[in-house]
Amino acid sequence: MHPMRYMAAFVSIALLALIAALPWGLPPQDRFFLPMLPVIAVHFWSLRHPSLVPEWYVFAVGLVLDVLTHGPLGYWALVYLITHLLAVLSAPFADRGFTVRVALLAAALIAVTLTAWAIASVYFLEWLDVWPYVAGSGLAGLGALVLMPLLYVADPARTTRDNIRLERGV
Amino acid sequence: MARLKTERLNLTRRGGKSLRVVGVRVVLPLLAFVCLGLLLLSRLNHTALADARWRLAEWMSPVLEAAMVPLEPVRRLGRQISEQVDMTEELQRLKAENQKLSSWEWRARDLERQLADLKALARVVEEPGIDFVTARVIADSSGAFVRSVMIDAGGDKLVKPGYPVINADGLVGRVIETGASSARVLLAADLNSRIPVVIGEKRVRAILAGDNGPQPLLLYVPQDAKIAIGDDVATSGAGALFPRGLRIGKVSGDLDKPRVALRAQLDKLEYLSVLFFDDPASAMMGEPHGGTRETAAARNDRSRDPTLPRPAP
Repeated sequence: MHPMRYMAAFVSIALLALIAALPWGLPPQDRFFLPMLPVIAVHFWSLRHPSLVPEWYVFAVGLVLDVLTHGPLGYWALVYLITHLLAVLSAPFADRGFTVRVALLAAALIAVTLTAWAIASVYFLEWLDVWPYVAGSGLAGLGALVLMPLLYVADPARTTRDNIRLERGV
Repeated sequence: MARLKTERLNLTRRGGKSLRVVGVRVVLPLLAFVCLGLLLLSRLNHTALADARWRLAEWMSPVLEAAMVPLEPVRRLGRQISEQVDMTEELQRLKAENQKLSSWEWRARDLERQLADLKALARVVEEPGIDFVTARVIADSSGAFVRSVMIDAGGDKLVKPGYPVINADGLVGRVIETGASSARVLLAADLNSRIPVVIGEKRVRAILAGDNGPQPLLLYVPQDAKIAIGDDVATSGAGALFPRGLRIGKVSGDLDKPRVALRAQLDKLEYLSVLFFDDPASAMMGEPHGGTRETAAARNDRSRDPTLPRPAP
């Protein structure tokens, strides 16, 4: 496979993780949508081209974000791995059109948000307020409207929609 | 012979037992297990983990510094828009404040003169000045778990864990970890932050405790203490963790469960000053962490002048 194909997926996920760690001057309760942006990229690439996003890379990006945000190690790594799993499991439905893909992303965002909230609650051994997570996820959903077309443009395989090709031999 | 080859078919076809499918299902649970293990170790606050984490963060700090370059104009634009929106309200507030301060200026000068006279009479030992270094915020980790920021000054600027951190508005927090060229600052609003404070003119002692919310709590306020909403809160200097008299904020919320509206806007931090404040007791005992304030200043001079001898690590 051409290295450029990996580049687009790798760079976009890493860039969004870096953006999530930078000081944007946002109130802490409004910052939750930032680490959800890599969720959109991981889901986008894993749904369309699961082979482009290895699990170790998703894990590594999440771990680096955990380090940079000084959160518990493994938290965002686990959340991103769950996103990757959801996308890979729903990959057979990905070629049923744009609406289905958006619905799959929305479902994944809801599942990932609730998982992130549940893991954080277990970590603190108390029920945390779910609304910052829901609000952050909603904002990330709006961000997806901007992000997904950009990722689509960055996708080198967009011209061969289902990646079907005929090969001679064997 | 032609063969139809589809990437998705490779992934999902069960008849062929695709290696990729097997790969996903073996590696992913393993990594998830590693994540759970790391979460558990983080919860237990394992020291080896904290050390490894800080090494990685230190290694990443040049990347963050580079990423700050294109971010700066965006932040400036956001700040300008925010300032324009608040301009009228701010002007009114400043006019009122200016009137109030004009009368206070005369009173302050008079009190300053009286204080100088009294100090001369009582032969009070002068408090030495505290040296400081100013650094830029390069990463913000204010989320569900922690309220902290990373700054681009570390051991190379003689920043050490425990040093208080302020900005133009008041106390921000304290340094908790240092690397060669970066340090992490635990903000006053963090769950683990505890700061001894005094409240109002009566100088009621209490502890300012963060709870990861925007306004930290005041704990251990004496039952009979008379505090009011709007009373000033400053560091008490107790425990020698922070110098006495650093402004923090004002009492707010409910007096049954008082909170403090911080002067510093912790979500909009850009430049922070690290005070080279060492525990005077440990400085007197000559402990390595301590050192007198004079030596802190001298060390700072050394950091500025590469020709001066540096202490052994």
